[in-house]
Amino acid sequence: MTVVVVLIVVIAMVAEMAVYASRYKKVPPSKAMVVYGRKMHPGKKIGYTVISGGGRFMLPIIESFDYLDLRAMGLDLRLDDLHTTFKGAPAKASCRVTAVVKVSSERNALYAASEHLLGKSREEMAHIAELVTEGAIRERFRHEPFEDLDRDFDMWAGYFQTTVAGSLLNIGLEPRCLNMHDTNLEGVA
Amino acid sequence: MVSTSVLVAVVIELVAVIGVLVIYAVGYTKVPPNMAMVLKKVRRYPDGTSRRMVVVGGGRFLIPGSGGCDFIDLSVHPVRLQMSGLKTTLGGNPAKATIDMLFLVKVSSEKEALQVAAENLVGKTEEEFMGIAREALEASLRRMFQELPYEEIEPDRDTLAGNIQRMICVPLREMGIDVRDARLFHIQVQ
Repeated sequence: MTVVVVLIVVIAMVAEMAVYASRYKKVPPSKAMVVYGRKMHPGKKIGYTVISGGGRFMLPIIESFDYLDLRAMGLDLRLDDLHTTFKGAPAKASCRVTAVVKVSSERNALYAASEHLLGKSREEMAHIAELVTEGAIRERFRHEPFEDLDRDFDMWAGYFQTTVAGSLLNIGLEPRCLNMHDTNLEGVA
Repeated sequence: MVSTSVLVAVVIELVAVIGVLVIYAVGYTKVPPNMAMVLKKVRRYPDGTSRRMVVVGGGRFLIPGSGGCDFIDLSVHPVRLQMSGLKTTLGGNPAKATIDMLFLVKVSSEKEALQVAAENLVGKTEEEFMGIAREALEASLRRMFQELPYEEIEPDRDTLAGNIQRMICVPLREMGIDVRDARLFHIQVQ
């Protein structure tokens, strides 16, 4: 009888450890884990939490998880037909822009990314970032004379940080750098 | 004899516990942060209206066979609009505008707007949602160009943002759609 009880206890312990091992999920540094399935309280009452680094035991049945990829994505945009002005006359310009964006590791932005970007591939995220960046650059060209745009690259960095960064952070993305290359005037009307 | 009846009782209890757990596991539906769950069950509200319940985040136990639920995607989608022949005025004279714009749209996460979205957008695919958003954006843009002279639409980024907020975001919010960002790629008036 004692042997049976000991056997049952051992089997129970092994089963418990197996369940724990299978449900303990580790988070690599390049990812954030979104845990959902029940009301959680990370500051306010919402039904999910985001963990970056470490790991967590997933409660069987009621908790599930997904990962957000935090690795940087490179953007390479070749923009033609940029409407601007040169010495007061309407003109067209072209430029090449390279930028690096990533899903932000900042806490609030991670929550925004969980809602807006979870389930999207890196290509889809990069596509959204490219469109927002292209729009911001086209707007800048439209409102600034080309001679100012071509001269002041520090201004670009500031503009990128305030305008593009704000838009991207809204959806959980974060720009890391922006470089302008080959800014050319294509023609003056 | 006693030990056999105890054993039978333990087995029955175990089967019952496992049965309950299985039913719970089958019926418990989790809601990812990028989704909203719309229950088939209609709830009567104190104002006399009856609407389907919407759950955002967390999860809920749905009795198996009770009808289940639908999901609405809350993630953001880019919609690029290239429109020409927009009626407006330039210097007081009738003019036509051509625009190329980007909008980042999503189903609103706010309670009231999400309830509206649950009625309008449930069961729609991503393409169908983007088609609806595109049509609503086109209608709002046409209205904005008709009501405002060209000079007032985009003298600078802040004015454009204000116009978009007032004349595009508000009407779309009434349909349960949020505009997260708008970028004007190109505008031309003839």
